[in-house]
Amino acid sequence: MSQRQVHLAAHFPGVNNTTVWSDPQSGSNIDFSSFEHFSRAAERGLFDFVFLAEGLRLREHKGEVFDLDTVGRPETVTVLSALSAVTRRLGLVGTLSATFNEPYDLARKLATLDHVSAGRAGWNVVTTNDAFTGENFRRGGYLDRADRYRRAVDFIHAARSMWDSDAGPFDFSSEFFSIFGNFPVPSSPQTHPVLFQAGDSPEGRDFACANADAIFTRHAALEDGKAFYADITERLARFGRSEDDLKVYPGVTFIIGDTHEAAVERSRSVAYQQVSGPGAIAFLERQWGRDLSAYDPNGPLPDIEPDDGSGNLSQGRVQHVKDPRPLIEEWRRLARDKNLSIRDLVVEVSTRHGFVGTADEIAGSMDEYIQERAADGFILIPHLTPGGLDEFVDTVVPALQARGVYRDEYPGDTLRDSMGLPGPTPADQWAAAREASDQPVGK
Amino acid sequence: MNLPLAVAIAPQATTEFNALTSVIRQADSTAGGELPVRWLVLRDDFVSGADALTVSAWLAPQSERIELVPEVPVTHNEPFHVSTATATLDFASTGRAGYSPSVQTDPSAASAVGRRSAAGADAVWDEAGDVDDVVHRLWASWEPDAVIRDEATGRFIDRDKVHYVDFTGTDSVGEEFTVKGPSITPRPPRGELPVLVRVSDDASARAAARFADVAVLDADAFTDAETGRRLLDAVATGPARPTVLLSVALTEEGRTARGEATASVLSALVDEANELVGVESAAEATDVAGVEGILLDAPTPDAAVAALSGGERAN
Repeated sequence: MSQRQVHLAAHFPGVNNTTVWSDPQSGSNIDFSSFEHFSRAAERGLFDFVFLAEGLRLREHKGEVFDLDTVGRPETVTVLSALSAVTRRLGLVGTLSATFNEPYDLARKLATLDHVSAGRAGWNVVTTNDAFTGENFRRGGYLDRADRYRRAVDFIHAARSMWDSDAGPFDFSSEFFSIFGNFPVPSSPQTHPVLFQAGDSPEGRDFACANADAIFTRHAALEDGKAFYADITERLARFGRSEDDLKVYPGVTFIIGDTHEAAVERSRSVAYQQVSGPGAIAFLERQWGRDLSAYDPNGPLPDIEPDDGSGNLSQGRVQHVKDPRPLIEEWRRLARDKNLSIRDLVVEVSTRHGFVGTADEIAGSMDEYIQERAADGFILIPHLTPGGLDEFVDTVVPALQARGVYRDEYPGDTLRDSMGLPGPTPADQWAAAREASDQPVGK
Repeated sequence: MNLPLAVAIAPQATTEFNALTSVIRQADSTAGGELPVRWLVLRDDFVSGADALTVSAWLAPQSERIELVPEVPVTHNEPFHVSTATATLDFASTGRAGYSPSVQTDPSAASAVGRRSAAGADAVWDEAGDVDDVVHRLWASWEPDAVIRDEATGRFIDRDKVHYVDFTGTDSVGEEFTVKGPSITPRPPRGELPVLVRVSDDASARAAARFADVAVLDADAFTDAETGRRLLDAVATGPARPTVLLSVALTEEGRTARGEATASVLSALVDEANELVGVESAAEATDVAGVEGILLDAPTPDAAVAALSGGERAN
């Protein structure tokens, strides 16, 4: 078979403005029945896994809990474990902090999850750097930014050592840990859960190449994705690994229509659901670093300048931009050229949907991405809870199957089988590969 | 008959996953029968077996009636995670979750985590009380009607109904710890989950008196009338006034020392314990602290299944 196969996965609609809560079809974001409905749809579509994000403190804006987006989520391992009882083949991937957890406790929980799910556990390793989140934890914001990946590397190494022990002794010492004992859980079906990484900086990419089985990326455009994929493949070689060892999954939004025009129109209407008037003002306030509540979301962009030391207006979000002024200038130009109101502008710059078209068009685009090595699979990010996958599974999945690039059944029992990953590599081999490379990952 | 009944699985046996599905099925099927099981406790001492809360979450969709009360190690773990995980178990079980804090005095638990040294029973139980306090505050940090989905103002929640907890407690080595809140998880279906405390010494008896809804008097601690009376009195001298269960060890075959775990055998054990400590009957026990029900301590899932199916037959 010369054609590369498309892989699919699903991100449970998150705590952000991609998720539309005002739609009549929007259900609970916390009831277990929503997670069950969503996961069953993913499994019906033969998806590799369902993916849960993490946020260990409610986001704040202007010193108060941010109230405009969906708020509230379950504890990740607990809900994934419950989902393992209502699914049979679907992988269960949770985002869990390597900063506000300890290796022994988390390794034990993940080994338990891998057992009860019969080999379907995955862990998206993230670091949580800020003191803001730390206020919910005993140790507070204890870790310097420079140390966050280094502790995570050691954390993973310690966890893998425990998983390798098969209910035996472990003894792990490093700059960040001095831990020993007996790991009480026997080897789980996958031995090591599938590890994901989601950071995008050069050090984040090296971290993934040196430690992970899969990457969750933001590079959803075709050329961007190809460049990312090529970069990752090159980095992998430095750790003695090939592209078969690390799977690349961009997170993508999608809008399906009966015709292309209908999809475009639907995309526009969903975008305006995603960006309410107050939501548009809050979006600008994050860039301006100041209160803009006096502005009309249906009026022109604020003519005042951003606040200089703006850093703390918004807390609990991933920050991508340092100096807001160039971006604000660009937005002003865009708004002038296209005659956009504040809300129009925010829709324009923040809600572009990844795949918009008929089911056949989307299947064709996804196929192209995979054949062109812009990705190995996609993590779909629907905008509705819990039914946001249903239409995709009913229409795009058959279209992919008709093209011969999507499976008719699960290939095996475990998440590794579904993703086409090799078996687990022992902790010591990971460490040796990191040592042998000339990359200063985590050093 | 109204004998409050719990079944507990030993921590070493919580990795017998397939057998646990038989336990949950068997326990669930006792509802409406002669001797209904109300609580299933998966024990967790942190250094043996699987993570009991994670296993309980997997059992939640496989059951309909029984309440799931995992032991949750609290000494070396984060109270914030304890709160969100227990709340999530309550969502996954649609309102059938409880939890039982388990404390770690063992140096092997301390060295596995590596954050601080081991401490004695008094210190870890005092800390468990503070942990339970903040866990409750986090459950309650979202008011029941905090989610408003108000399209007119674009607000998903009413932030005036989501509260910081700003909690300060003391850990087992005497250090202060703080939790800001609010929880990331909305208020669980039950609002407050029932808390079960195993009473094996004076420190745990004081903890039960402070915050338990259900106190389980360990058979090992109930060595004589005087000790039993002292622990029961300690459990009763606090604000919590828990329901008191007596733990009864099961053999591998699922039998008690007095034979099969039938309703008559178990109520005889309750009466006997109360007589020993000077309480006339279980009914009186609500006024003068005494034993009201039984927790069957099963060494394995198979023993629990045998005990529960034996009870059905014998009645």
